[in-house]
Amino acid sequence: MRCIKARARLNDYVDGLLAESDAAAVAQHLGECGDCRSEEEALRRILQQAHELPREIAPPRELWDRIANKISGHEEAALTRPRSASRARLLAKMAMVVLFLMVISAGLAVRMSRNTSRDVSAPAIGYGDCEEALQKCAQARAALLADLDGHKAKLSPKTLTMVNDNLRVIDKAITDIKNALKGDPENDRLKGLLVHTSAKQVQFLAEIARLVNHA
Amino acid sequence: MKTLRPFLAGVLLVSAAAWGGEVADSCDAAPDGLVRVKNVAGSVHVQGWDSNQVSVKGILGEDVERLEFVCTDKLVRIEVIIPKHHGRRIESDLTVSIPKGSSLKLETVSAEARVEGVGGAVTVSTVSGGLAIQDAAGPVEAQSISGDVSVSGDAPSVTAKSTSGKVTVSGGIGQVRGESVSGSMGISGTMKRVEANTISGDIKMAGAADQVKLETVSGKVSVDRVLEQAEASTVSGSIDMTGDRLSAAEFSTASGDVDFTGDLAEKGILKVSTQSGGIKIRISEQTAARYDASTLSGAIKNEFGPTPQRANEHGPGLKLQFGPPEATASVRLESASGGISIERR
Amino acid sequence: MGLAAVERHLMVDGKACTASADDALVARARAGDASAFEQLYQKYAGRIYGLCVRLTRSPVVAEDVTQEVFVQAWRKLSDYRGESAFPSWLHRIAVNAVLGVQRAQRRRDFRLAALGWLRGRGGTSSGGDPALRLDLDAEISRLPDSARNVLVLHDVEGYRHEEIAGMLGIAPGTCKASLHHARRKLRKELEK
Repeated sequence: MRCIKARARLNDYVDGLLAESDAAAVAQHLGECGDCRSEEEALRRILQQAHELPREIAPPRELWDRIANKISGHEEAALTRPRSASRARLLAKMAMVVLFLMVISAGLAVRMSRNTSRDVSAPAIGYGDCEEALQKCAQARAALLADLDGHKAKLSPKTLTMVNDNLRVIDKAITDIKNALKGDPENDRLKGLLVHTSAKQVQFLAEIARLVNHA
Repeated sequence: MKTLRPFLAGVLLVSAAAWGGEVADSCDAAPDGLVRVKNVAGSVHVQGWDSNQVSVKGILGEDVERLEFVCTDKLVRIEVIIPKHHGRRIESDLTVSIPKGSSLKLETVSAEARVEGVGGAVTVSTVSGGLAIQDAAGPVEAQSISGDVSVSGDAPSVTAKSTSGKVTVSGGIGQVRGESVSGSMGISGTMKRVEANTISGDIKMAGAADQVKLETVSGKVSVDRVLEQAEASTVSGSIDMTGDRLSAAEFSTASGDVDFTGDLAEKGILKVSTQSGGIKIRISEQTAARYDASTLSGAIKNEFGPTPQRANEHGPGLKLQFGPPEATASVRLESASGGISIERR
Repeated sequence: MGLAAVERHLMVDGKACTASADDALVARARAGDASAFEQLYQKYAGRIYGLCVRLTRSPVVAEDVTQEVFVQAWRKLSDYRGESAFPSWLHRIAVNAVLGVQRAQRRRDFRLAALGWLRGRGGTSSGGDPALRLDLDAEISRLPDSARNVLVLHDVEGYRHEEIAGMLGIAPGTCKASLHHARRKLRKELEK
């Protein structure tokens, strides 16, 4: 058995879920292969720690009182209330972004085709979740930057500086948002903001491109 | 009415340098028609007047081909025409007077633009020229990339966008919408609703607005005062807000500090949440509200008396819940590692 | 095999030797005896709360969920027929409640990152560097909901893939894939 196969089965092997023959094959490989052996040990270490995490954590003393109240009074227990429509807001925001990307890229395709020999294809837009929107933004950004590069000569040094400065500002903002997301990965507001800011960059580049092709 | 032609028009000029470039033209116009003006470089000054005429006066740059001036029933078009391969001397200075009930569409690239006393809808866009719109009375849309934008007047709505230029809006305005990337935004006067969105530009509001909705990534937000509803969110920017008796207020940041001074109306809701930003609120004793403050690793200070409890026996986190049970307003403050301070106003 | 694993087996298998004591309490609680129910609470609240804290990442939300779990349990006692051990039954209610909260959760959650609160906690640690465990909990809290659910239920709580799949409403294959992905992510972050 080769490393690729062994590694693919490593999790199940360590969990004891492999059929006997498979398990034996993996075991044999592990005996022969130092790298895979290290992998196995690393995996077992993590699992060991996870198994040893304390599963019992005492809740605050007064929790029972609250429960006692509820079961005697048979009131409806209220769970954490869902926040007001933040998901709806996120979706609305993304719909706007996608719509706007459609408009921008449509206009872009027209202008690009008029002036440049390079084929700048407008990305196909569809509705999707954040990942998709971010990808579209990245594609549009790359295409616009490439086009801009080809027309750099048309821009005055002052304008070029201004363009670069603002691109940097937006890049930094995107980094800031991504960092904030690291500490709070499920935050819908930050996710929407990331998409919005990426789209802003595309919008900015598209405006510059329009100018450049206009001149 | 006859058009006045520059007196040299009939003569063929060989040397462009000899072309004085002075223009003057005018025509009758509807009192509420549309006037479109395009000038790439130099300056444009548009003013509203009482006459039902459009008049243009100015000096064209030496490399300019001509000034196009076309009058039809409800539309007047004024454009500085630049030949395809032109020299650098294309700066033209125009003064345009239009009926004050007209709508205006003005486009420049680097020309400075000033609009005064135009009562209809005003739409101005530039790349690097500055924009100044004064005595606005109709809806205004002003857009620039690096030029500063300034709008003042009593208008139903103002939309001002810039990428790196400063945006300044002032007056008595129904709805203000401001957008910028790095330009700062300054809004003052009496507004019904203010929406502003920047990436790194600061957002500053002075005066009184019924509702504000302000978003930035790293800019600083400061508002004095908001009357009814406030929403502000940043990532690292700070939020400094003064409010009246608000019915709803929501502030969120990741690392920015939040400082709020104000009160809540009956059933009013104030929600503040940060990751590591500090939260400070100043509310008067008279506001009867239920408070719910929690942090994971920050401190909670409360001038109203009740002190925080541990969120659970041995675990981290503090929480503080107090307030008269009959209170209808609620204050909810959450921070992971920032501190929370509740102060008496 | 550590004590934890043994306990886990006991609980999940439903052949716990604590079961008989529970039976009596459950019977009394079902008849309306609140003090019997309180004893069940004292016994199992820690486990439920611990599970909820790990899954919801917020001590405050976990409190609400734990309360909800026991209130629901009290109301549905008549449905409980002992086909599984009482704590397992509670666990299932808890997982459902947490899923509901995760779906509805809109407010900011707290990170458990790098805080000393897990030191000296009750439970069954049989060695290992306490500092390492802290980091592990912090990294677990950073996983996205679906990966975290599977990892906690499988590697911390000891459920099997089929059970987890049933609880979360996903296919066992998806469950495995999530688990392997979560483990990879944890390793990557912890071995930096």
